Amino acid sequence: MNAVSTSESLPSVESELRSAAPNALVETARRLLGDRAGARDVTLLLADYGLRVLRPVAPLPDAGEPLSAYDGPAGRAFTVQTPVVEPPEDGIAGVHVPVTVRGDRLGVLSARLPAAGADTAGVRALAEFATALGHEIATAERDTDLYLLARRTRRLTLAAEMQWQLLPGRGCGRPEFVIGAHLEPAYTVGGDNFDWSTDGSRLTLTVTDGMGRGIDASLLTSVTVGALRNARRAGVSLSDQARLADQAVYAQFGGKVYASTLLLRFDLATGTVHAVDAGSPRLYRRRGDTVKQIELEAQLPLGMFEETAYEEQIFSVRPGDRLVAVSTGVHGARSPEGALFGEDALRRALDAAPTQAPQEVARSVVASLVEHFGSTDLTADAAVVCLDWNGRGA
Amino acid sequence: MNRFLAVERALRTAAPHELADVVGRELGRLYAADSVDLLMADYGLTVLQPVTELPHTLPPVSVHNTPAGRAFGAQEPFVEGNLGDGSVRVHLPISVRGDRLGVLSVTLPGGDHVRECLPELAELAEVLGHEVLVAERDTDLYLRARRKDRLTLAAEMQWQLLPGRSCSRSEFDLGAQLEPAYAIHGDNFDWSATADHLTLYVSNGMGEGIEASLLTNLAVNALRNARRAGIPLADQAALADQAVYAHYRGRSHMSVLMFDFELTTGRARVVDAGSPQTLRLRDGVVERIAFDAQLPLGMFEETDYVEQDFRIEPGDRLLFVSDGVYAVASPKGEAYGDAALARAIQHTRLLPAAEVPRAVLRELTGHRGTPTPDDDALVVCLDWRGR
Repeated sequence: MNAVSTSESLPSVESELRSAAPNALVETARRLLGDRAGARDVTLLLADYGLRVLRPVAPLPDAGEPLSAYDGPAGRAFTVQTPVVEPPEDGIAGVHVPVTVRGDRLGVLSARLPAAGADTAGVRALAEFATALGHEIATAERDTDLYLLARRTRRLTLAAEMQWQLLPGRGCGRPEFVIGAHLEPAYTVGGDNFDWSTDGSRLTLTVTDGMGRGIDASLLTSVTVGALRNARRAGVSLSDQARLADQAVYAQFGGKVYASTLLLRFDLATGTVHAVDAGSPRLYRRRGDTVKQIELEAQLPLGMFEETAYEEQIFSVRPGDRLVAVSTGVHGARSPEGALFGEDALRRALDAAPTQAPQEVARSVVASLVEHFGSTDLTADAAVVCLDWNGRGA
Repeated sequence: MNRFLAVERALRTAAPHELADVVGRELGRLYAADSVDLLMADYGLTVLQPVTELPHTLPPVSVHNTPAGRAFGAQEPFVEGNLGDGSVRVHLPISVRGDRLGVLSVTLPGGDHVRECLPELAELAEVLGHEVLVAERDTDLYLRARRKDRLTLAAEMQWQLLPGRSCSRSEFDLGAQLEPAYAIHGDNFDWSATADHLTLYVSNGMGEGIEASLLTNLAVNALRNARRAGIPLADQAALADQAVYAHYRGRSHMSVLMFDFELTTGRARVVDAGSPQTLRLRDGVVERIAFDAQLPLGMFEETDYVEQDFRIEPGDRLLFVSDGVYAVASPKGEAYGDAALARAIQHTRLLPAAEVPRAVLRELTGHRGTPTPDDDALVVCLDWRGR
């Protein structure tokens, strides 16, 4: 397996992946791992929009059975984000490694390797190969639908198609922080959104709760998120980002509909956070064993009235803090009996597994919401963003 | 580990905003390079802008008559000779599968050293391109470097809807450009390829500003949603038509020209739902190709669409142009527009597909002396090699 990474006479596996046609990454991976490591049954599995199953990438639809994204060796590799090696049989071992791009968990690469090659070095080389493959998938998606198709177990509604293409990814990991985010109902989501962008010194994070349902909601969210990004890329302050987006939404919809957005800007060096709470998404913090809501001054949603001025508030995060931002679909959700899902259930979900990664927390909060309702058809969109703050240390 | 792999791994593991710093540091350490600059092409493709943390902005470099611009235009490394102290400045194109993103400029000790490491550096520029695209998911830094002015909100939304600006594969080259780049609102192009097919949409949105970009957003997503459901071209048109009609009730509609090319044979299925025009350059002759005009998407309720057959031959160049191009070419009438366009296509015939759209638009606005057009102008160029 070391041949995969260290042979100097052959072109690097990365350059072969880079020069492959965008639709041919899996065939190329299969050939490279076969030739250089004697691998067989190389399969790329991608997580579906609902994060429930891992589906094989294949040129034809339904060319392979989906696997659980929680259980089994591949599901474990995905959930725990570590390579899983099955006990060898007849000298062949199944190996499953996560395919992840800077904290965004795309799926799992599975292969059967000669047991001798499935040692620590061999598995590490396969894991590196999987990361390179992940980067190439992210690039190839511009030119082919193949990988998007593998991710859907059924058709997305048009509103959901628009919403997903607006999202940056489902996670982002850096030394200073790790973000995990999730949306439900994944295949029919209408108005909820999360967005982030980082540079050398700051992280900007927004959670938006668009009003309405279906296409109307997704058009509203498109304008809101487009305007927030347009302002952010012009380099203006957080309160001005809110103000410009407010004006754009009001200009387009005349106050008939509006978007509730929580805007946060983190200073990576100090943990100082600037916040504008323009509406309903709520923010909770777990510090040590204590979960509490961070009460921010509620300002008007974006686009409700003409020319609203927004003010920034300041709070700070410490290394070890976990922040969770949730949309109305989460904190305002009621069971069929009318009981509010609310803070208690959220707290239970947060307490349930303090050692889980943020990506898993986002998924499990939504899972407990779904459990609360007894169905995957939520009455409102639910967005959850979980952020673990590491800071830059002393 | 060799030095090439070391730089490649460093780029893959770098923080998204650090690519320019990391490539500078690693090329310095392993290739004795100095003054490494990452330059990104702007939306209008007129300048190359350095990626720097604001406010330390370096001046932009023109794509014309500069060494970096030559590397960008020719898509080949350009070595700028003796700088006086024996060192040379090497300019390397950064592109991803035919999408031209920018240039990496590096100062190196001259002589054998340059010849020896040029192929590796050229490939590292390509690595950098791939990593810039991946990093753009998490940072605005490269998008910001690409803009020399602020984009309108409509343009911000439109650019983010586009797949890229060009795309190359062994079977074809695609290039596209939209003007006015910083204020586009309705025109759009989209492509997606599988092992055997290329699907291409060229659309001409109706209306102005954000209203136009929302219509295009809805219609293009509806087309993609249908395409991703794996249904034929005519049904993609029918579903998008219904989605647009359901929302706008006939008040707004979108014209689109849709192709599904078979990569092995060059056979294509076509649905012409509106106004974008097709011109073909074959054996030195420019000819307008007319398809059966059907209704734009969303004009009436439940329109049925019919596919027609078309064939593209190896060596063919097709150009697709939106209404706005005619408005630029011929403020006085269609006939002149055709002639001007045919001339522009002839004049640009030696350029690669990625450069043709901008050159055609420049030529049309140039000799008319017309300022920025009111309407969006879109040109897409497809060069067919086949198999």
